[in-house]
Amino acid sequence: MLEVEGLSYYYHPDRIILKDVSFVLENQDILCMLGPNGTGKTTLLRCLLSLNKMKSGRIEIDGFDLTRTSVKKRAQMMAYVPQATTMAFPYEAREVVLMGRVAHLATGKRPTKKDRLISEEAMDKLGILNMSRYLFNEMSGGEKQMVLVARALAQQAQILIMDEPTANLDYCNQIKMLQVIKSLAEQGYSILMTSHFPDHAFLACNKTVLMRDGVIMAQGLSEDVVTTKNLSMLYDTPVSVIEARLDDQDRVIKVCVPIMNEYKKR
Amino acid sequence: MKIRSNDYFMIKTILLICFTIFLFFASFLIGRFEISIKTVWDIILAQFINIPQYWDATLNTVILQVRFPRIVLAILVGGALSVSGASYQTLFKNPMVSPDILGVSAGAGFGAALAMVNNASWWEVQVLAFVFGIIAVTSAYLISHMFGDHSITVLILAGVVVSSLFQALISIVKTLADTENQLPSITFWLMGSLGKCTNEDVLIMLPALILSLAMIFVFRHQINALAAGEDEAITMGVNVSLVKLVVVTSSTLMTVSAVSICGIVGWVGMVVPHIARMITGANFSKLASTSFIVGGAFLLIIDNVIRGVEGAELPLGVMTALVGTPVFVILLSRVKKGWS
Repeated sequence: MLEVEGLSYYYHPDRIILKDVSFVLENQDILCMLGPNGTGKTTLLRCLLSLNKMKSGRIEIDGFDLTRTSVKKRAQMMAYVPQATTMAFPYEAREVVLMGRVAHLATGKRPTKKDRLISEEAMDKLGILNMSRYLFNEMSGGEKQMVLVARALAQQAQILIMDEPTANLDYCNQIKMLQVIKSLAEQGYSILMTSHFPDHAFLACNKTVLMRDGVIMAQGLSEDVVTTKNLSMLYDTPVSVIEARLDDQDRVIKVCVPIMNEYKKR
Repeated sequence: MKIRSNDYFMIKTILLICFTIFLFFASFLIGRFEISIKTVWDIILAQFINIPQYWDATLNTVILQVRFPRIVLAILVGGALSVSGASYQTLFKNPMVSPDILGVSAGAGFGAALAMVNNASWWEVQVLAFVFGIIAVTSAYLISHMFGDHSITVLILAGVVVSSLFQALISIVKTLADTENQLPSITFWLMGSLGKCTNEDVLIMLPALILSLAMIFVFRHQINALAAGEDEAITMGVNVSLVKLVVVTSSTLMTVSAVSICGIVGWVGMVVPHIARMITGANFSKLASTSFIVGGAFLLIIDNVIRGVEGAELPLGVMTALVGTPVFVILLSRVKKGWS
């Protein structure tokens, strides 16, 4: 369980980036963080990962104060899935995944057979074991993103922090990624992700946090929080949250539709 | 099936070591004195077992006092520069980085030049080169810590600044030097040479080299994780500031001890890691050892060419650049897709 309380951050005191942010990520939660660009979502993730040092507040994982734990211990509790980039050198996918095991290596020791096995399991779980010997830089965006998720799984941390896991992915790969996220939560992981698609809150996440200008505007269960009123306010754009019936079944899902014409009138 | 670059690491390493050992012994045959293989072998063996001396006593000096240190140092210097280049490239996540990125060569060059205009002995030249090499890197490191956000980019920037400063200082010293003796010796020092090595140099270089290699070996997997970038390495549990300090310290120690012995030798530290990556892959835990062996063999071959050319002693740094640049262009066309 990840608890964040009263987190604040700024580069200059007169321009506060994050103000008094508090939320809880419970076990097996999938929490979606929505908000316009420049609202502090990425900064918040960086504070959680201790890449930026928060100015005030408290972050705890299962009661451990995160500011007082070592880098290594932190990495064993919380893993990060960045947006897919390129490596400077021709690494194979399996080597990238194996890097995740460095959190469990004693200084000077090398990865054992067990470490390799754990990396392979992680890749197998995500269906990319057949690509383990591909060069990372030659893989597609979706494949790269899966490799980075596998690396986080190899790290064996219960909490996964994902920075826009669906960014730069095509429609099919976006859905695939959301499905992977859902199945990971079922296996016991807790996931915090940011997104620019409010629909993802309904498709994959049970909880949603709406952030605007560094403060949390609303948070709670996705059905309660992601509403026509909230979204229109959050993005400063008229959005309608409507219910859609899936063709052959009686299942009803909520979808978010931006209203184009009204936008023109304003 | 195609052999991939990171399969059969042990076999490849053993083959490379065998090749370097062969090269080591073959190198004794090159030089002004023609000495047969058997004589070379007997002179070396005579150090360990009792062999009646049937050769001229000067050959003893040629083999043991001249060729032996030069050959050993070619391997050690080549290896040291290559490992240090490989570590910097991985740490800075940049294939264009060379060991002197933090100003160590420029600093050492200034120290050597300063000693030479003061008519110092060769021994003092080496000491001053060593000291100023260390000063340059230390100031780059301190500048990045005082004015930067501790990030690796700021460290590189500080290195470039310090490098330029010491280049300027070298130019000043050059204009002050007398043009009869001092200026030529400064110029030749800056182009590098293994011509003045002695067995004492080997003994000076070894401890620094072993210590540095040991530090890099201990942290090899942590350094490897830095290839994913500083932030990602932190989230994977790597103590980045410690690893950064380890890499900078050991690379500097290796480079500065190499440079103070043989002057500035460019290109080896940048090109060899790329050749090594083609042989055993990008993973730093393998790259470090492969770079050392390949770098040692690479510089030994180049120095052998220099020793083989009759009449003139070509500068080592110029030869490494002459060989290194075309090799680099070939590599660039072959592996550019892996860099992007």
